[in-house]
Amino acid sequence: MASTSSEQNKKPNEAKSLSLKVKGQDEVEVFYRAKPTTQLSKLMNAYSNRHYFPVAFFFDGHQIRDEDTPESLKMKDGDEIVALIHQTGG
Amino acid sequence: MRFTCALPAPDLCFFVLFSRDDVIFQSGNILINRGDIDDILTNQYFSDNHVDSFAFLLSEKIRIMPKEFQKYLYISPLYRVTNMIIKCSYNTTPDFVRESKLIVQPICFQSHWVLIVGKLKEKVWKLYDSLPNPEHKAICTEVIKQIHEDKAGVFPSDITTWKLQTVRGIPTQSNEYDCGIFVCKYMERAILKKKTDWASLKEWQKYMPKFRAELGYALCLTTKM
Repeated sequence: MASTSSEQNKKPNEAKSLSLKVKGQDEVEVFYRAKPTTQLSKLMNAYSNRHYFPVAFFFDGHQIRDEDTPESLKMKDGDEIVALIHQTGG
Repeated sequence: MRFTCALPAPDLCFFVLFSRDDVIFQSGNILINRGDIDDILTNQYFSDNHVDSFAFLLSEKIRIMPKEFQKYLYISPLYRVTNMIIKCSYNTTPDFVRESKLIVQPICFQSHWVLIVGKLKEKVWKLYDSLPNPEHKAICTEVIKQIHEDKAGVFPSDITTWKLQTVRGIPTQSNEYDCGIFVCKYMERAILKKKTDWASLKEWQKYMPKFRAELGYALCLTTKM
């Protein structure tokens, strides 16, 4: 019994998924669950598909690149990502 | 026996080597990829990334020649849409503000770029607009109000009471796509210690493709590959 419970405890630790909040310009919040090693491009694509405009994502004042992962950006559970529509003009 | 070419077709080769998403330059909130460089060179609209990266390159230039420029506080155009603190560009510690002489804030409003420069000593806002229009003035007062509400006490006096003056006699654009680069170049001139003789720059429109190329080249030089 004890061994199986320790195994069960171990498994979620290895791939503990984080809950990340994406906050848009209109203050609408969308929640995503992502593994620490998953590329954030997956999350960003999922969010972008719901919007018509190209969206830029910021975490801790830095723009997120496609190959970034929650691990590489040292994200914690419940962290907030800001999604902004690019300002363009001519 | 026929020889076959080992290389793929030229356009395919180009496609494989270059993707619009390749990152050329990144710093703080700025992310410039190859597509952005294309936009600069092909007379497309400027995004906040372009204007911020120009400001970044300007700050690098100032580090080399500090004597020719005034100290200034740069506020990213992204500030208007979010109160998020943008690390690299928005430094509002009272000490920094006391030292600086200017507040520089590019604003994007309804697909048009304008620049406002606040002079801390003269207590006046200067508006640089390459397509003069009273509507653009209205948005500036709103932005100033936003900065004031958010950063009360940082500035020595109430910035909303400062007069907003449109700078006259500056070179203006004659097409519908160059205002971004115009705002960048105004910014470069506005922070100079020496006063700019705008009358001698009436022909600026002609040089805008060159300025765009310069910006694209400078950004490519920063790449670390």
